[in-house]
Amino acid sequence: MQEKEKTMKANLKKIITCVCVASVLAAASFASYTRYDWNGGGWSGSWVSSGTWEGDIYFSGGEVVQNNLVRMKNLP
Amino acid sequence: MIRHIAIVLGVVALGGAAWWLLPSSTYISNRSIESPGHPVGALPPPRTGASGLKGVSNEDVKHANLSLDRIAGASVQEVYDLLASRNPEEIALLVQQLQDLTFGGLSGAKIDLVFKAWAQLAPQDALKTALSFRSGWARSRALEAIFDGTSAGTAAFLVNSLTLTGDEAMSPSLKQQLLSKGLSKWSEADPAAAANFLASLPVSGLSAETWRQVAENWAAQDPAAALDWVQKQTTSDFGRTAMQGMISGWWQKDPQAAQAYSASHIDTLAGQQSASVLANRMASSNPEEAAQWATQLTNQNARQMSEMTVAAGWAANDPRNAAQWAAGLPAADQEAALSAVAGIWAKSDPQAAGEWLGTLSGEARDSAVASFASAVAPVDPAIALSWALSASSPTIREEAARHIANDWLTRDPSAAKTWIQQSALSETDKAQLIGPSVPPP
Repeated sequence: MQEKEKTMKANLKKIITCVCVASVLAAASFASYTRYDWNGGGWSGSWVSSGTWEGDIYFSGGEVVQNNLVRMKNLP
Repeated sequence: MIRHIAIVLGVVALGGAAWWLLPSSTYISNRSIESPGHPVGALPPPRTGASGLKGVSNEDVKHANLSLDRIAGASVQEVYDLLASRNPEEIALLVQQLQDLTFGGLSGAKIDLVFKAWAQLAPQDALKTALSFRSGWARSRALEAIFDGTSAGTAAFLVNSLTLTGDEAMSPSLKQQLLSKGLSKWSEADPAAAANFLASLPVSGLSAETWRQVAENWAAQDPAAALDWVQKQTTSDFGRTAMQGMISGWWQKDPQAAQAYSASHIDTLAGQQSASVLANRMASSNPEEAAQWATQLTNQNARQMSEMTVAAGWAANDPRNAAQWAAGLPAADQEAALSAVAGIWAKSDPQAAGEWLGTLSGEARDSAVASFASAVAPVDPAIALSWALSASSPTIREEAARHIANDWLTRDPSAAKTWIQQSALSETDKAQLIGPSVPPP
């Protein structure tokens, strides 16, 4: 009986751990390292462009980690 | 709403973590009631026994296991003190137990602690032992902990050792990740040596981020030498990124000189990108000054790029004033700056950011709305899609909605399809987002 309780408790711990890890990951995504694409009307990442820039820029919070943006051709 | 969800998730995570860690924490808090002969974590003196390890008895192994249990709740410093008080054979015994742990968060935490501490005490032994671990996950975890825990002074040794390690010991991606960490730390102590080592590696070997960090660390110490090195990196694709790191480090050392150099090189693409990084760094400490510096740049590309990065840096600390400043820029310069504010603000306070979006209009609003929707989409795709569909520009509306819907359909197809089908969208829009419905046979 004690063995059964031990096993149940161990399983419960595993389940709670999984839930916790998932929760932490979900919360962490709010402040994750983000790539922003500006690619001429299309986009991926977190920003959209109406067509001014192409390339990408990487942010960590508000800090620029890397800027690869290039102004699109044929623009004034 | 999103904030509430995040808070609830956080509370659940913290509560669960505390419950999980309770036994370990209890061990630590019981330190004062341990018998003086057996302080927490201390191993018994080495003896000869039947454990298979030279000079180690079964009783030693039993005590070592007990120490491992207690380590889980300790700090790196506590584990360092423990290791420093033991001889190499005793440390080997303790570490021996780590590779037999089953995969899991608690096991990983123990490996992290021991190897971070050991890397500070005896990096050579730590690396050798980590590489000898049979279990791939434990080996990877130990190696990462060593490179996280090592000091700048010993990073050079680790980097050089790693380059001599065979490919069978770890995946190429892990090796690159470790080299990147090691080089970044090495460059804090001896940036010239780290930079030259980096430049000697195959071009595709390491990420641009490594180039940026090494150049930044060097320029923070010796801007002239760092600039000279960066200017010679013409064969590398990462030369422009290194230039961005260099200007950031230079600004830390001598802000006036860095600003003057940047302003005199804004006619090149590398100069424009570097100027935007410099403006962003300025914004972190003095956003008003950064804003003034960015808006006076005569080169349009450099100015708009810099205004955008100032807005992002400013919004991270003070989104309301950043938003007010961006909205006051000339119409042609607003789009990028407002989008930056919307994207950053949406992550910290989506409610307030959404209310602010209601005050905008025209093309600038569309870009800001799309940026906001994109930032919110991972947390609440339904809200994000509603915002994206409110853009007046057909191009922005369709592109933003398509990307959010595609991502949502990948993550949760059932919920995404239900929302889209029940929305007020036209049948054409619905079909574009989830594909044409198949007529019944």
